[in-house]
Amino acid sequence: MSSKIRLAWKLASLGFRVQLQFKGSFLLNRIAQVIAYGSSFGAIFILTYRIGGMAGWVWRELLFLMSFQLLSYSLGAAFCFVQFRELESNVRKGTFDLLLVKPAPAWLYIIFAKFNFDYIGHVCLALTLMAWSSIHLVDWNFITVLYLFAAILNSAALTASMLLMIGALSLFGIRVYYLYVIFFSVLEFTRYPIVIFPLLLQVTVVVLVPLAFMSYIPVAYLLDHPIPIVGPMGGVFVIFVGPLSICAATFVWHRGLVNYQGAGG
Amino acid sequence: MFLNIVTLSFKVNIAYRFDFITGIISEIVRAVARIAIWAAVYETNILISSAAPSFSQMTTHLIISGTLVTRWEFQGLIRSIDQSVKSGDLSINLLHPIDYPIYLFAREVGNYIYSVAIVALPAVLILSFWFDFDWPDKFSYGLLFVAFWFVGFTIFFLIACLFGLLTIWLMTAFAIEWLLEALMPILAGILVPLWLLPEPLATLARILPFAWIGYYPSQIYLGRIELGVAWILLVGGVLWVGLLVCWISFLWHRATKQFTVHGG
Repeated sequence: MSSKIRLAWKLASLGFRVQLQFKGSFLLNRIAQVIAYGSSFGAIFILTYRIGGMAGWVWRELLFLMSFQLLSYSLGAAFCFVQFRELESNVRKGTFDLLLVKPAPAWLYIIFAKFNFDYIGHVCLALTLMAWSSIHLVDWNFITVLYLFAAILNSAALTASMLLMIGALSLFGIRVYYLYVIFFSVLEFTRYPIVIFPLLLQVTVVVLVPLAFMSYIPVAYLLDHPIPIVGPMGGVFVIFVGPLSICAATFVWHRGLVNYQGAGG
Repeated sequence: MFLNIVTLSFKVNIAYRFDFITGIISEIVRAVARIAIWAAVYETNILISSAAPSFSQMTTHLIISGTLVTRWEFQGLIRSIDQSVKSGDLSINLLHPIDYPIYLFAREVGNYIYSVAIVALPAVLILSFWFDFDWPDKFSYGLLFVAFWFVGFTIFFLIACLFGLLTIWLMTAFAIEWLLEALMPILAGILVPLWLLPEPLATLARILPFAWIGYYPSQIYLGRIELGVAWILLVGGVLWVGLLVCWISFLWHRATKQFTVHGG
């Protein structure tokens, strides 16, 4: 296990050093991302600030929700988005076979050799906005701080697992590009209080594609807002979502490997 | 030649037969998110501006401006210019009997027609059955909307092209793409209409060309702008087109001198 951790660290640090060869470009790109997300949040800020709030959420609470969503998404996507999106073309070209003969698990190479440091800008912006918006919102004590950290980790694990599962479906010969498009469309709902959406969509994001556990449910639990369908227990369930989703992703990945027959030639 | 490129571009898109299904689902989901946000706003009954439209008008604005007229992925244009510069393929375009920016425009018109006809219009049709959707009251506004739509897309393309050409000097498309993405949510007036913006940002946004991309076409469609003012705005849009064309011509002229291909 420790050798795998050392290898993961080595692969990720090599990747980081490669990116830092283009320092100016790296910095400019991160600044551009921060401005883009800042502008997007700014639009929502203007809307909610001018009208006083949305569905019982004041603008500070909405900002906390959005920054929590951005943080958990970026932490999860840094591990599993670009890497597993590329898996489909690697399977088609046959280059995935090369990973199978390496002296370490294929998932470890996929995740850490191309660990995505592009999300540093997202993380910095999200942390800043989270700290600023939540300082007076929650009665911060040991328990709430612990819950916040656990919720962030579990939400990031849920995001990573879902992205991994979609990518792993390419091992079954499924074209996953479309699934990513739908995933990112549904992800749009997680930025806002889900109580504003029609019941069918609430059921979708709480039960079918449980992305509500990625942002709305933990934040609503912390801020004492109503949680539809699952009630306040949903807030407690958040801390089991990470391990459960990782188990599901591991199962799909291993089934994919068993099923994989190689498509290149 | 222009029409041939438009047709070819359209046919290339048609080849990916299943893209349109996810495209429609994606557009509907995004529109539902935007409409739900505004439904929550209207429930509070604290809209402070007398310029505020009815909820059905707001729904129509969100569908027209967010789903229909802006259904063009400008990122593809910026990335393709960047790739042409980095791979050196831009030099091949210098030999073509058509200017590179005009070739790009023809190609993107084809992409846009595909996006609108195969993805956006079906999504709008489904959304119009689902939500309160207003149709134009007067034929004159319908016609003016089509004119604004055309001018709006042309401005959108020209802005993206202008940003894309900057990659020749900056050698990065990523930052340019994200910067343009940063300007759109505030200045195009889609999710947050320009009348809700605080002054002087609202006045600035009404003058800048982004307003012609999303905000003005939907306001014309809804008949919320008087005909006389609408004609003045249309002339303003055409002037923006002229200004941006001059700017791109200047940049392209400079770029052809600046551009160096390594390899052989």
